[in-house]
Amino acid sequence: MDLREIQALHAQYTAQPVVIDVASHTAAMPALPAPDRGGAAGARIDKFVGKLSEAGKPALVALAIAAVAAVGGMSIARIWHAMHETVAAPKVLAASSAATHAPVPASEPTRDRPIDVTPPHPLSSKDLDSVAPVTHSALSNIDARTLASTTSAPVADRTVPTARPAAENVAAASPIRIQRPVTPIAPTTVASAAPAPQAVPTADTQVRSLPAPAPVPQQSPVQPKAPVATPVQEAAKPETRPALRPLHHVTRHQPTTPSNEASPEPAAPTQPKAQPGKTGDVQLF
Amino acid sequence: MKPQPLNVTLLAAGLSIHGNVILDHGVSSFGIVDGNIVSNAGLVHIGPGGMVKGQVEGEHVRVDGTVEGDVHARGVLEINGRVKGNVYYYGTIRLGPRASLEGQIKRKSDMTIENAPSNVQQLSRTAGTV
Repeated sequence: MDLREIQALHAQYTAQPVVIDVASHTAAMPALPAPDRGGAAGARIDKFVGKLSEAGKPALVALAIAAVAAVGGMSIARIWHAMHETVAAPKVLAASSAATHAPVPASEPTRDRPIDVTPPHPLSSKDLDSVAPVTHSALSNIDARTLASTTSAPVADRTVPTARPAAENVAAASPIRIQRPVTPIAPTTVASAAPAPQAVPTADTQVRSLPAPAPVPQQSPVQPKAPVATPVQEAAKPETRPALRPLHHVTRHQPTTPSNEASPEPAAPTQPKAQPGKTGDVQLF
Repeated sequence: MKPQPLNVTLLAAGLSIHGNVILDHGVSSFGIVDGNIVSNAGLVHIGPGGMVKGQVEGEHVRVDGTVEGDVHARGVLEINGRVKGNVYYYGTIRLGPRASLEGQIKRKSDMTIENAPSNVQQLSRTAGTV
């Protein structure tokens, strides 16, 4: 057995030492991306989102159920409230009316009662409220007071025209309320040396309010014959017409054109008014 | 990694050593050794014509000659000669056509795990901490 064989034999059992050179290995390795912390945070966020998604479904279901229940409860409460108010409103009105009317007869026996005695019905804030209770209904915007007032209004309306206050009477009798179509014409015609006889036979109130037309007939004593008849008709018409035609005031603007009336022909404006009377037709406005 | 140079001690035929031979590398003995041969690494080769009167202990042991004593091999054990004693090995064993054994063959495994309880505890501790 020569040396080469011995060397080969030993070489077979010679274990090559395995040396791990970390530095050379790391240098040979390609640069790996360093694990950033954002990835860990993202993973945590993903886990959190996953947990939320797992726990989110029952939570969403519970929220939906709670929302439906809340909405249903609110609607039911509103309906109940509205029904309760609509039903209770007449009671309140009746109670208020009773409270307003009852104390009158009850006051008589209370004179004999001592102060400490409790009233027949327990006092409440309604008894102390001078204003009628306002009840608003959710179903209707009708004010209950208006309904209550309509029931009691006819009596008051009937009494109002009869029991008109003195101030209104004075205001009605004031010269402002005097029928203008007749009165303005006369002064204008008088001022423009128009025929005066128009103003002579007018109503008493007109005569009272217009003292100026008196001298006018003196200037033209000849003309009055023809005009006299027409003013009488005009004077008679306003007495009858207001009852038949309340809207007669609308047509009185026609004589406001003084240029045409400046001519001393008072019969001209009266002719169109007399036509419907002659024909018997009813004017339609 | 550089291949380490082969370091082998050759005890050629016609050599006689009285005493123990302790080595840190391989050895090929074709002589007569009246003592133990102990090697830490490499192959302990008792060549044909070689004779050892004592224990042979090494990393790898190959017996082509005659050994009158126990044989301890931590790795590969090949016997193609004559052995009067017990054979202890920790790895593999091969018996050649000219193998002659007068003793027992025992395989040992406790040598690979020294201080086993402490290691196990350390492993368990490390596993627990991780």
